[in-house]
Order: sequence, then C-alpha cells, then structure tokens
Amino acid sequence: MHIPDAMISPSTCAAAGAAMAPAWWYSARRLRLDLDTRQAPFLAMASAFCFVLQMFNVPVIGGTTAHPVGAVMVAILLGPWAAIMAASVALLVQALFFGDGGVLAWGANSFTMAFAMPLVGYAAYRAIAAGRCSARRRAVAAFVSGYLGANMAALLTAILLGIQPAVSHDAAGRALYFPFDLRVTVPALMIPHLAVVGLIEGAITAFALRFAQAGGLVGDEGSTEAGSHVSLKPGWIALALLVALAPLGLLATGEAWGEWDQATLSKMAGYTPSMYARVEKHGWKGFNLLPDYNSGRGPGAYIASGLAGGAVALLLGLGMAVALKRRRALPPDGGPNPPTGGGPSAGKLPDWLLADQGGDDPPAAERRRGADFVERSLTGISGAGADSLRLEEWSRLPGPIQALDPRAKVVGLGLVLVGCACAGSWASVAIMAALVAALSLLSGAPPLRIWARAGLGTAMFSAAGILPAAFSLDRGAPAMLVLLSDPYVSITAHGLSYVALATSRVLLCLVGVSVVVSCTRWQLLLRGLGALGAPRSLTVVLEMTYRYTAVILATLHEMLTARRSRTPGATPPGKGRQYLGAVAAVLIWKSLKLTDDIHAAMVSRGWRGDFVTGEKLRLAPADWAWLAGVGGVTTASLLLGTQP
Amino acid sequence: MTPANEPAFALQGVSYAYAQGPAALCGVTFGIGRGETVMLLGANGAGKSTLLRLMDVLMPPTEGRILAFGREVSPDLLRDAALSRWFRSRVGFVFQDADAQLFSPTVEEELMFGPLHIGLTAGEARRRAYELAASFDIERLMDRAPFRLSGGEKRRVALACTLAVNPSVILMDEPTTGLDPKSESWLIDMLHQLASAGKTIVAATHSLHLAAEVADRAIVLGQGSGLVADGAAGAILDDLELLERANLIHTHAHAHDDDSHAHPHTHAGIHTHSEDGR
Repeated sequence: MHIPDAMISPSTCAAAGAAMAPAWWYSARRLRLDLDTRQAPFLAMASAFCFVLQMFNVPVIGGTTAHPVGAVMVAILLGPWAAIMAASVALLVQALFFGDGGVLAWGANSFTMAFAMPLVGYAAYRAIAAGRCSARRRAVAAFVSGYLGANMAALLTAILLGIQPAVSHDAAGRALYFPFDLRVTVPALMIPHLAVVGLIEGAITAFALRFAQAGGLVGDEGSTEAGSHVSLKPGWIALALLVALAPLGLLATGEAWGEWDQATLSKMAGYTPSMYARVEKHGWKGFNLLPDYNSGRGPGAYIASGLAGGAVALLLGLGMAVALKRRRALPPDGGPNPPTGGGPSAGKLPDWLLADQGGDDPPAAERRRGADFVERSLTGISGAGADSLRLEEWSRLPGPIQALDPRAKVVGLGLVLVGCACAGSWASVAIMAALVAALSLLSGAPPLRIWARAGLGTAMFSAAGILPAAFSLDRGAPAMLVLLSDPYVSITAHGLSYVALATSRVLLCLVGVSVVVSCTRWQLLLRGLGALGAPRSLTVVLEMTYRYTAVILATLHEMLTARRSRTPGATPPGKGRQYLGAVAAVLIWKSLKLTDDIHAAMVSRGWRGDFVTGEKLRLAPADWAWLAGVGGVTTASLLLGTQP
Repeated sequence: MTPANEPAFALQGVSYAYAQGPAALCGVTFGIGRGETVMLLGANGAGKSTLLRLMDVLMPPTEGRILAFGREVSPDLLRDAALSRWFRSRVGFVFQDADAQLFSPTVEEELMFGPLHIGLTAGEARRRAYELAASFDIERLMDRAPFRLSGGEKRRVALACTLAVNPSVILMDEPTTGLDPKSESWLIDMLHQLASAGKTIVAATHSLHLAAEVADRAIVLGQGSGLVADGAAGAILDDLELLERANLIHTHAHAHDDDSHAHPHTHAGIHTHSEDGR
C-alpha cells in the first residue's frame, strides 16, 4: 500500500501533504493536552512499534505474504491522535531508510495509512464497543475495525493512484504518472484487501487488544488514558467525507476523458442491482491500457466486483471462524484440569525430567522446502538491522556529500526528488540520471550497492503497478507483438516506452533518497529538518523512533529466534497467524513499559517537556555550491521535460 | 540555600501501591545523612526500585512525605521550574535498564542532556561531557549511538550521564546487573571515589558483595515491602538469620570434599564455611 515517489504527481503529493498538515497539527495539539510531557517517548515507542509491525510477513492465500499496518491497533490502545502521529512517523522512517513509500509521497501515504485508517478503525471500534461491554465484544469490535481500517486505506490508495491519469496527462492523453484509472486500481487493490489483508489486520488488532486487556493495559472503557477523552466526531466526519468523496473521483475521471455521458451519470447516480448482471456479462478481464480503454463496463463494474470480493471475504471469514472453533474443542481425555496428587513437591524436579530421555541417535534429516513465516520474518528483521547499520557506516565515510551542512542536504534532496519525479521526457530523465549517478559516485559508499538497494524497491512496486501498461487489449493500437489473438493482447511501443520512463523515474527518486540519506547521519538529517522549520517535538520523536526501533527489533528478533529453537518443522499458517498476533501484543506491552521508563529517565535528568539543544549550524561555501549545482541541473531537466 | 545540617533525604511513613496491585511499599520511614553510602537490600519484588523512584520524585507516594535537604518534594511541587531545577541538579538516578536511560541519538548528546536541561550553557555542557568521557574511558564512543554499545559500555555511559549534572545524591538501581567481574571492580572503585568526595550514594541491590565492599549502612526491605532492618552495613551483613528471612541468602545442599551438608549461602563474597555450618 506504500506509494513510491514518481508514481503520483507532485501536485497530488502536495495536496495530500496540505490535507495532512492540519491533521498533524491538530493531533500534536491534542496529544500535548492529553499527555503532557509523556508525549515524546510515548509517540516514539508507538511509531517504532508500527514500524516493526510492518515487518511481519504473514502468509496469505496464494503463497504470497502481506504485512499489517498497525495503525488501528495503536488508535484503539492509545487513541486516534497518537495513532496519526505514530503511523506518520513510521512511514517517514520507512521512506527515508528503506525505500518503502516515497519521500514526496509521504503526505499521501500518511493520508491513507496514518489518517483515514486509524480514524475509521477507531470510529468503528467505538461504535461497536460503546460503553461497558464484554471482552468478547471488544475483540470482535477490534477485528472489525482493523478490517475496515485496512480496507479504507486500500480504497484511498486505489483512489489516489486511480485519479492520476485524470490529474496529469500529456497532450496525447498519455498518463504522466500512474497509468491505470480507478476501474483498474480499485479492484486490484480492494479484492486482496477485502479477502485477505483486512482479515490479517483485523486479527492482529483483536489479538493485541485481548492481550492488552489480559495484561490490565486497557480498562473497561476500552483505551488507556491517552485516548480516554477523545470525541468521536472527527472520525465520523472523516468517514462521511471519504464516502462522499469517493464517487467524485469517478466523475472527475469520466470528465477528463470525455467519456462521461448522460447514461453513465444516471448509472452513477443510483447504481442498481442490475450492475451485477453487467459484471456477470463483462467481468473484469485484466488490465486495460489507459488511453485506449473501452468504456463499456461503466463505474458500476468495479463497485460490484468490490462488493463481490467483500461477500467472498465474509464467507471466508465465517468459514475460518467455524473451522477454528471446531479445532479448539478439547480432546476427550486431556482436559485443562491439573492432575490431583502425585505431582512433585515444590523445589523437587519431576521424575520424568531426571530420567534419561533415550534415543540419542538422530533421525535421517529431511530437507525442508521453503521458509515458514518465522524464518521469513527473521530474515526481514535481520535485513532491516543490517541495512540501517550499513547506512550508519556509510554516513561516517569521508566524502564531499557527507561534509555538507544538513540543511543544504535536505533542500538539495527535495530538489533532486522534484527533478526526478517531474522528468517527463527521455532527455530530462537522462539529465537527472547523470546527476544521481554523479552523486552516488561522490558519496564514497559503494555505488553498486546503493543502486541495487534502490532497484529492489523499484522492482517491487513497478512490476505490479506499471508493467501491465505495456500490454494492450485494443485491436486498434499499433502493436509490436501480438501475444494472443482471442482475447486480443498485444505489446505496444507506446506502452513499453511508458513503462520504461515511469520505472526509471521511480528508480532515480529512490537512488537520490538513498544517496543523500546514506551520506547523512540520522540525527544530522533531523537537525537539518529542524533548522528548516520542522517542529522540535517532531524531530525529537523521529530521533527516538529510530533509536527504539532498533531496541524493539532486537527484542522481536530474540522472541522469534527463541520460538524457532523450540519449534521443530514448519509452522502451519493458522498457528503462524495466531502466534504473530500474540507476538505483536507482547511487543506493544513491552513498548509501553519501556515508554514509562524512558520518560522517567528523561524527567530524572531535568526534562520538563521542552528540548534544549546546544547545536549551531553554519552554511559553508561548499553548501552554497551544492545547492546551486543541484538546483541548476534540476531546472535544466524540468525545462527539457516540458517539451512534448 | 539548604541548611548544612539537614539530612539529604527524609522519608516519613511512605507507602506506595500500584493500580490494581498489592502494596509495593508500606509505611517506610528513614533518613539518609549527607555523605552516607547506603545499600537498599531486598529480594526481587521487595520494593527497592519503587522506593528509589519515589525518592527521585518520579511518582507520588500513596501515603507519607518525602523531604530532600529539608524541602518537601513531590511531582506536584516540582511543577515549579525553579524547584525542579534545584532538585534535578542535586539528585541523579542511574536506572536499572540502561536502554531506557540512554535515549539520545549519540553518547555525546546523552552526556550533554542533563547539563543542558538544568540550565547550563552549551559550552559548559560540552566541557563536562568531554571531561567525564575522558575519566570514564568512553571518549571513543562519543559519536556512537548508545544502543549499539555493549552492556558494560552502556552502564558506564549511564553512570557518566547521571554524574554530568554533578549531583550530590546519586540513586542507583541494581548497578551491578550484567557487569563482568572487571567492570564490577571498576564500579566499586568509582563508588569509593564518589563517596570519599562527599557524595551521598543510595543503591538498591541484592548483591551482598557490592554491599560488603562499599556500604556504610544497609537498609533491608522484607517480602512484606516494609523496612526489616536499618543499621551499620557490617552488622547487617553478619546477621545471617536476618538475611535469610529477607530472602537475600538461602540454605541449600552443597558438596565439600566427600561430604554433603546444608548451610546459608549467598554466592557472593561473604560465603561463610564456619565450623558449626552443618
């Protein structure tokens, strides 16, 4: 669900950022009121927690994996304002360090996953688990709210991506950014989320809440002090707004392509059950190249396919619940009752432990195929740790970029990103590529490693998101290669050059971020942000997030390793999901405990809610030269990019 | 501003109970004189950490009063900026979990955090940080992130950053946990230096070895979370019956040559193999 840079237009990024600014401002204010001085460590832990949670690889249907976001869980446990801030910070760390989601697209990703998701989830939770109610009801409420939150985030992501062809296209009607419109993005994102990912998010949310209740973290009123006096209104307003806005997106698309006629409008005004018939007839047959799509299916088709997906998901969920219930029935002979008498007395070991186990010869080893979820998660976590360690090493190398003033670096990074994201022609892409290549050589870090690291991130999203644009279903389009004649599928030159252009933009953005970030120590980067006007509380929270992410990752790594040492063989997926839910809950409990300790440690050393820092920054001639150079190249590229 | 004859700390009938839990401390009363080195002894769960947190005014006692240098202190009273600065620059706390205590991005900033927040200038804070780093042999770590340090290094940094505000009272929670023998003897040496410089040291520990090495006085908390004994460290450490009652030592089977017998045992420096041991 993380949108990379250059996938959506800078104007969309700016609009989403502008929409998030009041949300950030308001939640920061609410947190200050609610939490007083506890806010910084508290938010840092919640952010670090969200960040770590997103590394959980949960097996989903079809052999792929998905990860939960955790925003709804934080919203239920700590209140929606904490969730907005925590998830936003986690997304920023991911964008800067792991190439997961774009830096320019931070506002957009925050809007979907850190704003809409926790608010919708929280509203749903409070609506279902209103006042005093049973633990079971709360768990159900948590599940439903996690499910709804994840799907809301997916829907908004689909809308943000899907309106791109309408928002920015060239004279020929070719999209400049994401190539597919809503009727492709909505089903493509919604079906997996409705059917699988939402269920996982829901399960994690419910497990965490049950655990928090068992641990006494959550009282009868359902949330800890941070969220206790939060009004529901903003959540409902946001939900209503989003529902109201969704059809607007469709209207805009239709208008932009001039395909919107009286008939379509009437269909949109009141989509009737007859739409189901349309789906039956036309179905969703695959990807559609943007400028050539046939308008026969109408916007009802994807709404209907979403509904159908939802129905399937519901049935799946019910089936799973029934199956789980059956399996949990106790075996007839071994109930949970402790045996009476005959047990060892306190301090004496039971006899079976003292007896020799026998059978010292190992059995023939059987090769295990594939890695189960624990191993995949472990690999991911070790990878993240190694990654951040490597970045820290690179940032200490002697090099011209390392020596720059952090403010100049932050501004320069912004220029590079805008230049890469806006590159609209091959000439401008070539100029930006030359600049980025020069930077990666100057950085002193191994350039191949930086490009490989960014290439991996590019491949992940682009393969799924852009590659299909190379194919066309339209018999009228000039084809390079006809793959199938009935149904007709061909590869077009037009499509291929689009895919290449869009993919190189994403790659250049990622390399640009990688170079600058890997040449800057985290705290200096934040100091640069702070000097440019980011609030001190934000940069402090970011600093602490980075630091405690490492601590939580270490804890998680130990927990998973400990489990592996006690679990022979692969873990069945059902057990795996249950275990991950429990691990997530233990982690949030540990993070909260650590929060209290950190806060006490800060207060003990004189902290009273404001941060004092003894740093002064100065701009040297080299910094001005860097800014002028990067600015010049970017301007040149933009000038070239506007030519058709 | 504080009369020289006032004790560093005076606790009057202090109790504390966690929400939804049993009392962690019941009616504890004692005073701590200036320049004393006091060990709070007690088994796990006896309330040592709670007592230290109350003394550092990180949470309010459920009952009772706490006076520091003759002034009553409480989280409410410390909302006053001047009083807070006064108290925080006189009392330092070394936490049990170094990962919780070291929250800054680099060791340098960690060392400067305390001085900056009690109102010293950046220059003075930096000077103190580097002088402490030199004497703690952690100069090469100044640029490093605290969470990348080893356990022993973290402990050194934690003690150094507490000392950076030059407190006259140092509260320590389990200072020897996770230290190897060499680091432990370094710590004991450091505590001797601080004590002879007139610092007041209050350390919670269940290490009788540490207590035997540095303490003037020992306060024993029992399993009921109340005060069991308070007196000269030597006398208390010799009272095996008292220590066993407080779960600080225990009796277990133990082989000597070919012979097996049971006797009180601490696994620490004061392991007595007396003639009447069996």
